Amino acid sequence: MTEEIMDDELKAEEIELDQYLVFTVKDQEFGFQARRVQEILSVTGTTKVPNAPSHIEGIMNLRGRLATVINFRKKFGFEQIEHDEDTRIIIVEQSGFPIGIVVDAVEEVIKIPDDSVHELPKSARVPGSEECITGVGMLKNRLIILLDIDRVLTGQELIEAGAISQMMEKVIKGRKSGAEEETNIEGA
Amino acid sequence: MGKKSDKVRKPGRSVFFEDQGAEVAELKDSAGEVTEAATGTEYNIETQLEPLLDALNAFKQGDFTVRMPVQEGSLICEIAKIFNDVISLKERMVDEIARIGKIVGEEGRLTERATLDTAKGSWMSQIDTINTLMDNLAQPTAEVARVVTSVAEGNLSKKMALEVKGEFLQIATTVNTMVDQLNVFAIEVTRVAREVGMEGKLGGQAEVTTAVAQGDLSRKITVEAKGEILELKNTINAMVDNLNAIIGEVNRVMYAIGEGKLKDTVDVDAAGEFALMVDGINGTIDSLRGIVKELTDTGINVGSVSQNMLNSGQEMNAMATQLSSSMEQIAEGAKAQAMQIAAASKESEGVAENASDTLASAESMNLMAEMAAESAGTGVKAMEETIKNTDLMLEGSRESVSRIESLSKGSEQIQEIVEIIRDIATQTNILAINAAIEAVRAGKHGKGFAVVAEEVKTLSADSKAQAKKISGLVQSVLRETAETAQTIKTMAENVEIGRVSIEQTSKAFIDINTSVENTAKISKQISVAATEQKNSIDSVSQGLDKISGIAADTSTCSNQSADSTKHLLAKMQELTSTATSMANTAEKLQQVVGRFDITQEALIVGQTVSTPSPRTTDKIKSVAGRKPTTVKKTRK
Repeated sequence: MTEEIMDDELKAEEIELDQYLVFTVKDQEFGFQARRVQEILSVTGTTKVPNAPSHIEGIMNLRGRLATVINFRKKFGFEQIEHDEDTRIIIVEQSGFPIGIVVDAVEEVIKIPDDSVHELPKSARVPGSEECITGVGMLKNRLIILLDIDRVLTGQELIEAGAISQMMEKVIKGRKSGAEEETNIEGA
Repeated sequence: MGKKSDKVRKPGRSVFFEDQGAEVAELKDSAGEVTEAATGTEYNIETQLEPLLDALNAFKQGDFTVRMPVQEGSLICEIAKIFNDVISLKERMVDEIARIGKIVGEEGRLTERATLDTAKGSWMSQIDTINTLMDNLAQPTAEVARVVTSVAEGNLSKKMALEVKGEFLQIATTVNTMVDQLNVFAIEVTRVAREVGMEGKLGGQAEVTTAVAQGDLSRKITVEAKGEILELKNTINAMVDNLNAIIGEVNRVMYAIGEGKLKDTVDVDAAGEFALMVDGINGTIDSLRGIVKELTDTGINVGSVSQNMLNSGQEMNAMATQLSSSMEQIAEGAKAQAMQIAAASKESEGVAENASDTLASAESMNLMAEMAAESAGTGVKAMEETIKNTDLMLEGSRESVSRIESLSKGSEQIQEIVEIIRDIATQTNILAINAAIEAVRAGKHGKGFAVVAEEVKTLSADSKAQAKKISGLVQSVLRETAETAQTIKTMAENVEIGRVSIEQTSKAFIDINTSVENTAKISKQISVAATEQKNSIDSVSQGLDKISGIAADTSTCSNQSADSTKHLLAKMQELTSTATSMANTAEKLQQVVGRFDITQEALIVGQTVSTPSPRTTDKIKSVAGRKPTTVKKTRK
């Protein structure tokens, strides 16, 4: 019994860590650690903030709290599109303040085991974006770029335009060649 | 005459002696016995017998007048008596024979017969023999007389019976031949006379001449005869004379005719068939006279006529030439006409064919017009139906449009609902994700919740998918409905346009119907007219056919006429030449006929007896070379 309980606890810890919220921006799947996500919302009206950086969508009222809304398309240097029914706002807590992140869609909460998470290959690292990426989750045919929420939000306000894209291409290219090495590194 | 009597007597006598030879011997024997008896009995018997001897010698010498003296009562006396009887019998017999001989021989009376009443036995036989002889002599003579009498009477049908012999047979044959010849002669002359006289045939004269030539009429019986023989002789001679006269006269006249003289006629007294012959000859002469006269006249006439004919012939020749050329022109014209008419006939056949075609066309047009009228009527009805249907359709399309509109509305409502569902599904999805996040945050306690959240998320995804499908369906429904509505609208518009068209069509149909009815009327009239036309053309064609036939006939006829005219021309030329030669012939004929002397001397033709004129007599003399004989009838 005890062993079972312990296993459960251990597993519970693990579950917490390897649960990711998968969302898409420009057809690329990204993942946040699910335990860091407060909630998701469908798009509501935001209030523009004058002189704010271009990737700041605006501000919004989240049940009495003021939340900053960031648009990842703008953040990642992608072209802007109209909001649609799949457009979501992911609410995260950072430094005690809620931040809303506008993404193209939220897909699911999924478990990506650590052995499926690979470090981004050195060749694929692009200055300005590499520090906010914790790894790449590889599930069957899916490549999910796992982002560090804090670094994404606290690092540079704006990721260089095209950096994510370059990185994505590199990741996809070096997927097979560097998979073992990265796994070993990540595993270690 | 005495000579003949001897002849007659002699046979009688020889017969007497021959036949009575036996009796003479008997007589001699009995005389011998008487002599012996006398010699034997008495001496003076010799003296007594001397007268017997003398008597016998005298008897022997043919003296039948001797008689023995009769001394009664003696044998000599008996002998003398018998002798005397015998010798007297003999004497009487001789006398009788002499008498008969005289009568027959000199007087020619063959009917006389010997009779000796006291004769018996061989004596009687002797008389009978003589009588039989007489009979035998008389019968042929009578026969000859009979036949000759008949001939003299002109009856040539009698002939001698040939039951005799010797010279009598010769006589009979001769007479018969003569009769035959006469018969032939008479028949010939009669025939020729009849032919010449009645039938006008000439050319039989040769036979007459032959017949005359064969007749030798110069002989006559010159023997002296008496009684019946004389009569016979006379009859024959008369007959010969008669014949001679007739034939001489005939010859004279014939000779004259031969010389071209027709003045004389046969002037002779004839009977029976000779009369016929004479009549025939005289008739012939008359006819010849008439003919010669006619010929003369005719010759003159023929001369002038043939001259006229020649002139006419020449004129006709010219005319015939003209006619011939005219006929040729006519023939050519008729040929051309026939050809033209044939062409016309052919043309009319073509026209008739065209008329037939026209009629057929008119009839088919009629039929088609009727059909068209019917079709137009049907069309009008169909149009009315169509308009009705179109109205219904329009109504239906309007209804459809309104229904589609309501369907569209319903679809839109569905769409709205589906939107709501999708919203709900989205919300549910968000909720499910949030639940999942919460479950993750809840740690191991949120595990079951996470499962639920997952399920809800799945449900929401399903709902969303389904809603999306519904939405798509509704969208397509809406789209299709819109399209349908549009289609129906277009259709309705088209139907509306169609309706107008149909109304116009209907009107057109009615117009067509009217027109077609008019057309039908007109085509019927055309048909009638075409029928009439065809009939007329047929009549014309038939007429033309007839005309063509007639023209062909005319052509043929005119060709024939032309040929005939040519023939005519040829004949005319022949005729002209014939007329010329006829004129010449007529001239010759006149010359020839001119030779005939027909100066009428009032000669009487027929049986009238008249004395021949000296000239006639001269003619007879010159022709027959005989003395003229006055003919008399010899028959008594």
